[in-house]
Amino acid sequence: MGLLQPLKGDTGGQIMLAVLAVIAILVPILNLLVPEGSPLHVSTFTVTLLGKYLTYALLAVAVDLVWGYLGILSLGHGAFFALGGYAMGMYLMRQIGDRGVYGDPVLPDFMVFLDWQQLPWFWQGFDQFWYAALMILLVPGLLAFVFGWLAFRSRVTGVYLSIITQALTYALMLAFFRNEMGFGGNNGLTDFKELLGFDLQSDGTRIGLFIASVLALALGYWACRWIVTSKLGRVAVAVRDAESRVRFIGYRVDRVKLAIWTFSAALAGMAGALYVPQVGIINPGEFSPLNSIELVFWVAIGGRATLYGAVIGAVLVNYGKTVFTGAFPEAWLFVLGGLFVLVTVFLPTGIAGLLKTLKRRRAEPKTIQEASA
Amino acid sequence: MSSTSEPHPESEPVASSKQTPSSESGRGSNRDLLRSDRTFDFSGPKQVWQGFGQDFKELTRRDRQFDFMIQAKDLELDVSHGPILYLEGLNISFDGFKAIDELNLYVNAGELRCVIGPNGAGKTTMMDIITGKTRPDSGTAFFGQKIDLLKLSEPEIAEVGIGRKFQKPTVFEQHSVFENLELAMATDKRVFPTLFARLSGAQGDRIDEVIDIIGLQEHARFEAGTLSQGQKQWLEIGMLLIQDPHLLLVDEPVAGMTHQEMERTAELLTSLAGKHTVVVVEHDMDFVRSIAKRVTVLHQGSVLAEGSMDEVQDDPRVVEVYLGE
Repeated sequence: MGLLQPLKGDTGGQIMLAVLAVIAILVPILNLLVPEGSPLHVSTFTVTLLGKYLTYALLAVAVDLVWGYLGILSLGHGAFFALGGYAMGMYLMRQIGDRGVYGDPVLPDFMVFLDWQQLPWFWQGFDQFWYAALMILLVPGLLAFVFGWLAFRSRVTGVYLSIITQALTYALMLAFFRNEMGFGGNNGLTDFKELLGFDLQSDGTRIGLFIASVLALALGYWACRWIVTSKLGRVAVAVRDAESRVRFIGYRVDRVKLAIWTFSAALAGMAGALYVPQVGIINPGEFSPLNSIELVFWVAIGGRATLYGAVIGAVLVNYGKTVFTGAFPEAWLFVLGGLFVLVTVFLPTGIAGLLKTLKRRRAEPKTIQEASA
Repeated sequence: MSSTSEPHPESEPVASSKQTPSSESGRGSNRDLLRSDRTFDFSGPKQVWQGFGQDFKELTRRDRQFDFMIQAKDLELDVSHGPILYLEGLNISFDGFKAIDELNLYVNAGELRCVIGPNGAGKTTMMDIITGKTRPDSGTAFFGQKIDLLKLSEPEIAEVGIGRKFQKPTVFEQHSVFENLELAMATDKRVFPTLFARLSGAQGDRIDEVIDIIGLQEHARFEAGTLSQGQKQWLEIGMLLIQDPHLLLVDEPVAGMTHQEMERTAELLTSLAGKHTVVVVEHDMDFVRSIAKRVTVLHQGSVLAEGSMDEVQDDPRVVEVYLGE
């Protein structure tokens, strides 16, 4: 009962989680048990695509937590996503072992290519999964903590904060592009072989990663709901609406922001870590400011401050992206831009807001009839 | 300066770490040990140690505390002499303009005091000094007899029990009236205790009680954004009340209120006096007349007149200030 408490009154979230549960059961069955020729068969390619959308959805939920509920418009959440991805990528690189092109048992290919003699200190430990898993949460979390500590303590808010987050991800992109950084430079990390001993190319592993993404999204969603429905969540919304008033009541606004911001970054890192083995590559392009801005679009289109809206937005926009970039590659950015303008003008509360309005409209005629009867 | 120094010399200091004369002499005997013409005397060290022992005892007395160890929340309000607020000889000037000029003001515990005065008389600056927002150039401000307000920061002053309502009401519009009060309530406001906070029965009762006092029972579950201007003012007063302050500073409570709302506010503030001390700054003379027993008139940063509304109104100086020559 206590576990379901955060979902009380959250109809959209309940439906979303129910849909997640259904596809988590159906997709593996349709992929593994239904023969390939059947029209019901879901290809492994589709499974991986779905898994990718789900990691994007988790990232969008993390953004919605800080934007929708705390009022921090982050244009740099892609950085935390990418850092989590790099941490996972480093583990996967170490798993390749001597199966790389150059066959070095310890050094990844790009290091051999650069003529490095030994593993840099920050690559140590990444051959252990538990260590990598820890870093996936710790590295983005720590960066967010230091960044947030400096920014929130000096009361940087609004547009200024958004610009700094943008600068953060841009600076990281430039840094990761450099070969000397030791993260594969331009090419990033790729050519992964296996994860925890499972072959990354096999259908079973793909299904496993898909289910892990479903679970991560459900868990992340639940955790965000738990925060949002707690008293801290109400303080967060108060900070969003009247920050100085909250300070005057006696809350340390900077600490409230720091705690939720850091949690959100760790969540984004988790999403990135699940994303990398499914797409098979991580490169500095993931730090690109455009990515971070695009993911704010997802949340805006889905509906701010609903959490499940972020999931809808992320999945729909990315599905649209897959379809459009396949059909008319040049048109996609125009479609995205147009969509954003339309949503901002006609649907300021996003798809989630539209659903709520429709529900109310359907309920209204009834009450009018009842009143007239 | 110790935070426990008092405006009135007759009151007792609560904590001090002063050394007693006996310990001074104990340390003096230390030097005798170095005298070369002296044979070593075993009673000497004993005295020395006794001296140190007394020092040590003095420093570790359990019934006393160092001034710097006392936190704002542990400061005790002492109003045994009557007044809860002492402002003495306050001066502050902004770029040569004397906003507050030798201001002396005493407010008794449980009193409902109205402060009036023309624009620029220093009413808001006075509030700023009391709440720690502005520091005066000279003078003293004490809360009770022991708490020196000039040494405390804004949150500390809020913690010792001075609450302030600003001119423009700001409530959390997306939260219900109940939630607004829940957030304002005096509890542990650090991040993790807040994350795990569950509303206890007693706290819920307290919120309901305050909702009754401010008369918003029917709106308890409504979003604060839907309230009228007057109702928002009451909610603000409620958010002040639920922090259980000893002293409420209320800045222009009836701005933007209808006549009926004004009457209700008057009732509300009058009912709060006694249990709390209330200082109201207001422009509306009818309103001041309806609530005040004692009125202080400020003019050019100092007190021009003080007394009942009738006395003050008959004062020729007040008439001159308000009506001009």
